[in-house]
Amino acid sequence: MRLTLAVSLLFASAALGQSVSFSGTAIQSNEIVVSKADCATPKQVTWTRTGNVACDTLFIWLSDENCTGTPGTGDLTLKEISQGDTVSLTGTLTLRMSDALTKGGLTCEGQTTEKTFKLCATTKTVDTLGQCKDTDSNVGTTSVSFIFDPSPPVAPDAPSVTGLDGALSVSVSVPSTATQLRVEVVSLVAGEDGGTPTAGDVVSSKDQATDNTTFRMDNLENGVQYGVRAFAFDKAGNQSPASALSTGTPIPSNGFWDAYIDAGGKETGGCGAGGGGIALGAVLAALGFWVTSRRKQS
Amino acid sequence: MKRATALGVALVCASAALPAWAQEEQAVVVPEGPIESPRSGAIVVRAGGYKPEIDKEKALNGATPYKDTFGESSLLVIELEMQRFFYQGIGTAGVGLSAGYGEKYAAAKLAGGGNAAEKTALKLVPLQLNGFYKFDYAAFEWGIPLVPYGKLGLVYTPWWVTKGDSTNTAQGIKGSGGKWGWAATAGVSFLLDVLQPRFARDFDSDLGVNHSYLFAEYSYADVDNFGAGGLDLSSRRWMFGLTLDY
Repeated sequence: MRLTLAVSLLFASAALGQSVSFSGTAIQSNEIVVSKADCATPKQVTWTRTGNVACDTLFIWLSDENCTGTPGTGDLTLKEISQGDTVSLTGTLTLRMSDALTKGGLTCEGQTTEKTFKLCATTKTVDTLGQCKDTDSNVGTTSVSFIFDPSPPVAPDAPSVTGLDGALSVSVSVPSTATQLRVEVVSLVAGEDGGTPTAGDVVSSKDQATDNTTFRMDNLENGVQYGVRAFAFDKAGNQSPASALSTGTPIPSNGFWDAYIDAGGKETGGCGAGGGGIALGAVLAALGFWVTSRRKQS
Repeated sequence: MKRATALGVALVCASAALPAWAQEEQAVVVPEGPIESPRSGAIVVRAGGYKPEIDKEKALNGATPYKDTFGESSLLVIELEMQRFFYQGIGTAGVGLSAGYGEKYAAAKLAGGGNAAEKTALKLVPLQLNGFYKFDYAAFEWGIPLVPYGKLGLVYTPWWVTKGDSTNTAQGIKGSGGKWGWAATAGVSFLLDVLQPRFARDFDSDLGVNHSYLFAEYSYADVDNFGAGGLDLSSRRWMFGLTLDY
């Protein structure tokens, strides 16, 4: 009797520790966010489990509600690990938003609002007395949300443009859901009958995260008027409509060095170190090492 | 048997007592004043204005590109110096190695003379190796908390000029380089220990900082490749800072 109890407790302790974790580059801040354009694009997630599948099948699945129980008819089962399986300890899941939506009777095109699925791992676990529980519970240790975001951010306001020497400085407002900004410098096409010019070819483009909203657009021609527009991107990669077109003209300017050289300054740059200079530099380095390296005697 | 046991016990007791007796015979010297840890060097932090004498270059023929761009104001320079003492007697002498950084920004100029949106900057890294002497004998022996000092050093100053986010180039010449020179410095330090002697002692016993000073110093620096011409980074400047002897 005592032996039975000891064995069952040993068994239970191993079963109690069962867990499933999820990892992969697709997971960013415990989220996998896809746009409408990426609705059918596969996303790879690695699962790893520990402990025994002691009582019942372990399900890895996508739920549009909570990670409890077993997959229902509207849920997408990704992996089943049979009771007693000691071989399947890790593997790769392929997540497609289109599959998850279809399972719930939805489509990528028809879904116009954000939809969130939970990546779940559930099975019947063992209680402290070594008895299998009646219901499946969550054994996933990583809470991962698989999110369909079909809505692009709103367009940024018309950017503020300042002319620099051979460049433009562009300041962009950040829409609320944006995580990335793009600025495009475009040539201007004259409007009909002298009307408002419109955007022509893209001359240069630059992407930056939203924590830096000032763009320096280089390699432009001084005196030429350019159009400037901005786009915002959200976490899913949805691109906003273009902002209203602003214009700016690079203006030549003189820095201090231009002023010095133009005034006749004879400095030619360089380190000013001939053979003697190099020797002095070596002496400086050696003495510096001596000054800073000797330890205090006590 | 009993006699042997008694002899053994006596020997053990005697061997244990002998070192204690010997210790009692040693003279214990109690210092009269507070114990100070050995002093071997110092760390100096200072800041001040640095106005290079760029506009005094003869080749400029009276033109004032520095003033025209940056006005009359100086660069703010911050320096850190490590000193090593090799003489401590009537005063303290040693060598020091310092490195600093200074920069000055202003608007670039449009062709008509107005300010452009673009920024231009002059940036310097003054490096100096010096020998110094400070007369701290009066402070330590007579309690006068002022320590006059002097330094003579070799200077090397890397510099560069930027416009926008890149190095400024004009007529094919890149605006960066380094200038050699020399500097002489005179200053006076105020020994802070006199304000809080107990705190100063704790500072020494806890961190090994023997003395701390506030100081003001004046530097005469010729940094023009020893008269070879070109950009003149010479300066006559006041610096203020904190010194910690360790």
